[in-house]
Amino acid sequence: MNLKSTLQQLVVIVFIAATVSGMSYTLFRYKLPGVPRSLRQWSYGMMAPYQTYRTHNEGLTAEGKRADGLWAIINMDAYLPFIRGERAMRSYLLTFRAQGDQVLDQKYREFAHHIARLESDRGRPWDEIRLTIQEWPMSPAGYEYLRHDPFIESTFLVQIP
Amino acid sequence: MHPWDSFWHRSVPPHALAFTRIALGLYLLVYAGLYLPHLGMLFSNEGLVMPLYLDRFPAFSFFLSPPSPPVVHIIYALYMLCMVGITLGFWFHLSTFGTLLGSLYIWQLQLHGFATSYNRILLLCLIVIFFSGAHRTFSLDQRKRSGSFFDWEPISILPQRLITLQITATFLGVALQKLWLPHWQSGEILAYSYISRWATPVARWYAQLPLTLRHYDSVVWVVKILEILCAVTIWIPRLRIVSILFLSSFLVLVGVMLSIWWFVFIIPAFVMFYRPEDVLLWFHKQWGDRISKDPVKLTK
Repeated sequence: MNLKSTLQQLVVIVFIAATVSGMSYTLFRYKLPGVPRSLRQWSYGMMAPYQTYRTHNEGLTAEGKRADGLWAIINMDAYLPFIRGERAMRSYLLTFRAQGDQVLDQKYREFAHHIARLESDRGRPWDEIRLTIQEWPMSPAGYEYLRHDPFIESTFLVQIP
Repeated sequence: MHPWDSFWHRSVPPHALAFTRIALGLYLLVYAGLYLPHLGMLFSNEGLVMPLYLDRFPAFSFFLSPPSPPVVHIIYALYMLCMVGITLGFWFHLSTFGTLLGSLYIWQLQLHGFATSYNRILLLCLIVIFFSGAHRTFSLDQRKRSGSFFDWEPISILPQRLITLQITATFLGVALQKLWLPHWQSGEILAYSYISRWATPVARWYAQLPLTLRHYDSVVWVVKILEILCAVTIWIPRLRIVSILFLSSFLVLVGVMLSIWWFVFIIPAFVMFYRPEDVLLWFHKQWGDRISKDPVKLTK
């Protein structure tokens, strides 16, 4: 058996091991012994979309404090040019979230500083900026149909400076 | 030939894989093209960019930091040029490597990484295709090599098997877990999804129809059962076309109703479930002698 053939057999074996391991983890949360975690998670990641759903809407919201002391919503459409679902998913900062609360908090601060800079570049300087997660009920009438008082609940994330 | 070797390693015509390569290249161009109006905001130091590895590897800040907008545009132009290379089969290995490298670079750079199922499958396809010989027909590389865009040389079936088995595993895993995932035991997940942040106007219109929860229950169960069945029956020649039609419709509907359109790149890859020899005969039948039944004989 030559080197090429050996490598091809190896690829097949690794692929089968990763897929069986990914499948057993997907279906039974069973971790097949001997298969590296990274392989299992990679394979699992290809089988795991849309496992759950929400019964409310939620979205990252940035607010800026004006000179008169009132808070106003900052329109972030230009800064997050994604379709709504993708934008929401990215707003969770999932890759940083996986690194723990401290990193997540630090990254949301960084996010707020970026917003402050971008707003200032566009002639809209704010005294302070805060980020919150807003929740509101779903409605067939539209995504933001009930995004107003008294339906909104806000969870504070960070405030700068 | 031993059945194991015949299944995994036999030499076959490259047409199914080449067709998939072209479709994948076009898909990547569309996908990347959608970001073109926002390159500065998404990838440059003047936008909203939070690189993933910069804090962990500050010594590599030259590579991991977001570049200036002009540099981003140059990098992105090269990145898309590589996708054109994949589509045309031109400097194929360099183009595929460039696309892989560009994808990883952009992924680590882009706002908060979004490593989804389709991104992972896409990356796997790119890695597999790099080693596949998908440019051994319908490619400028082949024209340079033997004189005709339509000449072909045999390749190993292994890459084709890896991609098709991954598609099967994805559909099976996704569908089987729905049999006992708590949130997939009724049609509520569908009803709520149709008014969620992923919902398109078509889904919202559907959600406003006077349909009961029993209707959504039925749809969810039909999808669950057919997804599992089709993931298996796509391997059975007599049932293949029906399975492909259902799975394709399912992927298109996920895009139309839930704006999750990225999985459609799987649809052209369904051609790889057919025997490569049959795909060659089909192309020969369609395009006549332009596509020979026999591989090209290289003089050197």
